[in-house]
Amino acid sequence: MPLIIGLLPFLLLGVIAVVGKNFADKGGKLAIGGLALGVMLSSYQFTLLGEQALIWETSWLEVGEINLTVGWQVDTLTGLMCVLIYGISLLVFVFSLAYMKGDPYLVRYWMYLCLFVGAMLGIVLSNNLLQVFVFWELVGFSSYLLIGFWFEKDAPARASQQAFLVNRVGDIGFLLGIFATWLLFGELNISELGSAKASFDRMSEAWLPACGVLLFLGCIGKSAQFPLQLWLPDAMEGPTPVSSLIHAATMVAAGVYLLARISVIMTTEVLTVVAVVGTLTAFMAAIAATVQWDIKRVLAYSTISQLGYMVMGIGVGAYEMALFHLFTHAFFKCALFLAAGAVIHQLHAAGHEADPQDLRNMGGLRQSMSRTFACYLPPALALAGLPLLSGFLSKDGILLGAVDWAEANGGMLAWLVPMAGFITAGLTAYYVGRHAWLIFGGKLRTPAWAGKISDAPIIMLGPIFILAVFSLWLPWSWNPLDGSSGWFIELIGLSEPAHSDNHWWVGGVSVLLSLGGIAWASLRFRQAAQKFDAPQNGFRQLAFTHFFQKEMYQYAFVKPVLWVKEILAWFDRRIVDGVVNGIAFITVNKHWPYSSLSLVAARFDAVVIDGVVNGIAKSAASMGRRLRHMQSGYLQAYLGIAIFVLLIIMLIFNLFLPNP
Amino acid sequence: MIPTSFFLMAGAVLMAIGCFLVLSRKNLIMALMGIELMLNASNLNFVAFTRNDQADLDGQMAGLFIMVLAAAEITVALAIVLALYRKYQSVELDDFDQLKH
Repeated sequence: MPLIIGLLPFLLLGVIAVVGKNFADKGGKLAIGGLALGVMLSSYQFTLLGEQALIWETSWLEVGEINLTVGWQVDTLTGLMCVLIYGISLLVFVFSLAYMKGDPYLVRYWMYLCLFVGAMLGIVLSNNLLQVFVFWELVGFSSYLLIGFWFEKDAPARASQQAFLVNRVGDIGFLLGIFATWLLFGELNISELGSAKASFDRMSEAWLPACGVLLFLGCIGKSAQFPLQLWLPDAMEGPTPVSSLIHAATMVAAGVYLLARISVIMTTEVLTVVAVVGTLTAFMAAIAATVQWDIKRVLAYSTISQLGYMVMGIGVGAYEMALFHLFTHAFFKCALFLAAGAVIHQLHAAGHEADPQDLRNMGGLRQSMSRTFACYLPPALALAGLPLLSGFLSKDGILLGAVDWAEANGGMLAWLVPMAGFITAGLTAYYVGRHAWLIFGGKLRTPAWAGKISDAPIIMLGPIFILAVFSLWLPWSWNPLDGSSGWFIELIGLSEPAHSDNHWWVGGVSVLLSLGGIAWASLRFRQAAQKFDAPQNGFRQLAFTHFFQKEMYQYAFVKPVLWVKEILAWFDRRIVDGVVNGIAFITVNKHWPYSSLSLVAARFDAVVIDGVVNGIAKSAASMGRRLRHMQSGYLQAYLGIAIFVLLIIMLIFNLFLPNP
Repeated sequence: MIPTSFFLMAGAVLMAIGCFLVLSRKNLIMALMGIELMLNASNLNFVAFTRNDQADLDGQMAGLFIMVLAAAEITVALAIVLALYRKYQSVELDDFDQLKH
């Protein structure tokens, strides 16, 4: 069963590759049908799961002492992830049907999407790190293909390469981490790492943290954490459904999922690093999101920020809550992206007078796209973290975990983590409010579009609506104010949920901060005739460029490489060419008195080298004259000689080699 | 029980006869027969050596393989003889001297 679930997308990929071009929608309905089957299968599998995880594995290759296995492991978390991946992918596929209509390379699009989904399922189902790594790379590769789907344009091609290269950096860390894990535990099986660590005590001081940090590097790359987060905003160059898939279920979730799975081997120091990196990422990205003008970039930075929350949650030990946030975030972020896609699509249809992705050109769409607005609002408020919505449940849990962690660890520095978390919550509400006001509030700021904008078709709205329902609190927990009593935590939770005394004030503060953020945003962006050419002060620029990250990489890595290139070119031109020219000058210049080198060489050539060459030729000729009699032309004579020589060789071997 | 060396002697004699046939006969078919004899000689050696290793019948397996191989080989060889006959109108080995001229 897990095998079918894991291989179904690859099967679809093959089918679409072969017969896809014969259909009007290039195999889209085929893919959707396959995914619907996948949803059913994975839900059925989920109902079958009991306390015991389904584990199957077989030997893959044996090299000496090393015995590597392949297999899968399906426990509650994996089962849920399968349902999530299939469910979200299905909705995104349905949305794509309308969004990508008429694209000339639609067959390729469906194929890549299937590959993407299959690779992600592979990561989730694999039971050992090496197999995870294989699918991990496959996810990276298919995201590269999808981000660069419109590769004729310059920006997507560059963005896809950037995503690929930045991910490589993390992947190298991950691979080294796998090596280190093998070295330390002799075990790559995820489910057995915990017991392997328990029985492990030698050289733990130095190597165990290193191993944890290296594995975390893989997560940093894939889940866009500091300092490798710059690829994610640029990945917005891909088609919008792809962005939503990347952000919701198939790519960035991989890092967090893996981190949760391997957090058993992380030591306290590593977890602190994880928490700090997550907090830093969440905070930086939230600031960057407050000043972006691209409708998708705001969401991209918000994804980075929310991923930072999840990583922080794992770092502070609230890893059930982090996974809970992964799930709720998957739904509302996917809905937001699809809503943004619907807006872009409708504005694009309204005319090409202005950039349909620029927030400055929008405004007032709640009248013309009222149904889209209705579907957009719940997920947006969930992202802002208002109560009665799913985002509140999980984000609150993570913040609570951070507060508990800071309390347990003590010290002023530890409190920085929850503090930054709270500030980020306020910032999140602010940029969500800004996003909503700029798109839907006020009046339309592009006169050319007036009256031409129509609401999105039902095939787009349907998926968004379903996702929006899942961003309410009810699908997750009966109690709208406390996520830890929901079914999700009960299913996933290995430990008893801690009933902390901090719960009420943490929830209260985060709600107040969210409301404050939204209020501030509505005060600033309510007016339609807002002037957007605000002075580019230092802070604004810092935030817009995401702390000059790209520039820093440019200076730290790209520029030095170019400098080295310049230096090498200079060295080549001056030194190497100079030496070569100098030698030529010495040897052939007639006017220079010491240029006899070439003359000496010529004499040497004529006498010694020619002599040797001719001598060899002559001796060969005389030998040939003597041996030509052997070439009788009779086959059997040749054979006889061959057998005779063979006998002699055998005799020699018998005589001179010691008998065993 | 017949000593193994007897079989080895018989194999050696067969090998020598095959070798002699290949080297001396002018007719291609006869040379092929010699090759078959040599194959059988080696086969005999394999089987003979298996007598010392009753638990593991590797030698007999090799013998079976050689039989199959010989059958396959002779079909190909006869096909080649036919092709040669078409080209030279002869199956005499000494007539195949195109490389020399």
